[in-house]
Amino acid sequence: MSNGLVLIASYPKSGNTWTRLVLTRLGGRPEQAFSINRLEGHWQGIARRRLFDDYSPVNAGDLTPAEIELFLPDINRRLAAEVPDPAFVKVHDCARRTEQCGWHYPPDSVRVVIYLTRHPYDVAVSTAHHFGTTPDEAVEIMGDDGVARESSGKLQPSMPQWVGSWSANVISWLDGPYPLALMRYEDVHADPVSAFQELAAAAGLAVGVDEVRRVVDATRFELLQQEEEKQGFRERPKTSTRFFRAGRPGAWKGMLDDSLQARLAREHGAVMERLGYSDDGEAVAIPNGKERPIRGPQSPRN
Amino acid sequence: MVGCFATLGSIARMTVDSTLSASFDGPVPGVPGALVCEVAKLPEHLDGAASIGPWTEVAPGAVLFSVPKIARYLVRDGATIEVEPAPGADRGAIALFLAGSARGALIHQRGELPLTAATMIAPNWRCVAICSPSAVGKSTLAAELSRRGWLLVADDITRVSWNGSMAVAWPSHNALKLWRDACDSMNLDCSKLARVREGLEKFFVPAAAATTPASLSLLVRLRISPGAGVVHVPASQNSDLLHESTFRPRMIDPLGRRADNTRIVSQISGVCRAIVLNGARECPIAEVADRLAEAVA
Repeated sequence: MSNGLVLIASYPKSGNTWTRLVLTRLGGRPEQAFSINRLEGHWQGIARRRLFDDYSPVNAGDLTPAEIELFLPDINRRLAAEVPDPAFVKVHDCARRTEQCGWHYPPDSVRVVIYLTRHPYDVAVSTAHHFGTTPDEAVEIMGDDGVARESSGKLQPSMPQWVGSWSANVISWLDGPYPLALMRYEDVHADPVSAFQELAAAAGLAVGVDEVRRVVDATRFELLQQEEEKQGFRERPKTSTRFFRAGRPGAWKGMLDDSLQARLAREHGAVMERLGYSDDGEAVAIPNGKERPIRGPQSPRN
Repeated sequence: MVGCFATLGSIARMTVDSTLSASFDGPVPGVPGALVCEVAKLPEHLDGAASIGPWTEVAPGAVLFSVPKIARYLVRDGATIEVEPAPGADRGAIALFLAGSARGALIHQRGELPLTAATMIAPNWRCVAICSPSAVGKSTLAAELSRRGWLLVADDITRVSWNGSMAVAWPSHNALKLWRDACDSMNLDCSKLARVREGLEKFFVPAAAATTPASLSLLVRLRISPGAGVVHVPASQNSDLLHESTFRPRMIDPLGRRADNTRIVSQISGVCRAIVLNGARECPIAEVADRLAEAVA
């Protein structure tokens, strides 16, 4: 039985996979061989669907997305009660609640939310590569509050996700009712050992700096790229030629034209400012008083 | 139980017509002697029941579950399913959960095995249960096999019983449920197919079906992977596959059916061969079907 779920939440293409690789390695058995394809037990993809079907009276594949929402709070509560620590769960959904059933992830079942952000210019370029779209289409997707990553005409192994726009996704978690550890991808990239030590502590993992350094070294971006090249990566969509493409911040330069930069800044400016993301594409210090990187639980909103 | 015998046959098989029936009263598909009965009101709770998930209560001999805005179901003693439709609910959805979860619970209550499998009979009469969780592609593979002349026994949940010497798979369906993308890939015109229920792009695809029980001989674990192929499973691992593929195993203990389940799993394991079939979702379905056909030949 876990002491609550550790949600590793983010808008897609914001460093979620790297964070999961590091934290699950820190929270798991160090003697186990490392592999990007051995991210078992994190209740993602088909494992999440199987879990839903295991607890729900009827299969998710026979329910509409709206009906699935009704079951989620109870299923996530049971997940928290039954899985062993550390109970890492990957999340790309917005923090959401239904009027009838409350928060999808009930606050009393969540130990902490690790929320990862990345400059939206980089997210746009990465999203375009990931889904095989143009940068224009990626920017369109990032501004669409109605984005649900699901297809009505086919059953995906993963469960439907309610991702929302980039801004909506960020705000939903920053202003949600959970204990929160906020981390920017740019800060992780600049000093991964310090960043992951902070996140490990937030997740309740008692690990020393040497151990963090060892795991960070084993998950260097070029090593992940090499493994993907040799063995593939099962989370890579068919629309993308490679999942681990360009890990460095600022990779948008030369790939995102002025009009798209302006559009992102216009549509997401308020949230960008809150996170210290400037409209010239840089990540500067988070303005004083705007965000506390780590905070305790919030009062649930009505 | 008044009314249970009113219109036998309305859901006698999971067919396209079942979504249109006026009443749900009738036999349970693939479980001769068991009956469905539509009622106005079911109890709110079961006495002494364990809750095994949202809106599901289980007690010895009884399972009560609800799907909001669709229906509530009470399954008793391996013999009856009572259904209380929600006002204005989609009849297709009610029928879907009757033929799925309610029937699965009823099979557990009988001490038999509800296998999460699409079961087919090959042209050489070998009966094959294709097992996997949802979304791996059981029904799509079954549809491809159906095009090659295999007979459908059951989709989604297969009732497997033991007759003293054989594992018996009971026929319960004469249509497969396919999502629009699978229909498109098989050049099936969805506009001519009945929708499984409102709100889902999922359709009944009629299939030539077995009419009598068949002796199950091969268990297939269908697996998502980039290369199509077959891996033989040691007989000692047959029971693992059956446990993994059992419908809602959390029901077994509160139903008081653990000993029955252990026994029937052991019996089926002893008479069936098992293989892993790789290639689901990642390889052309024809290639996956070729590999299975070779393994069955």
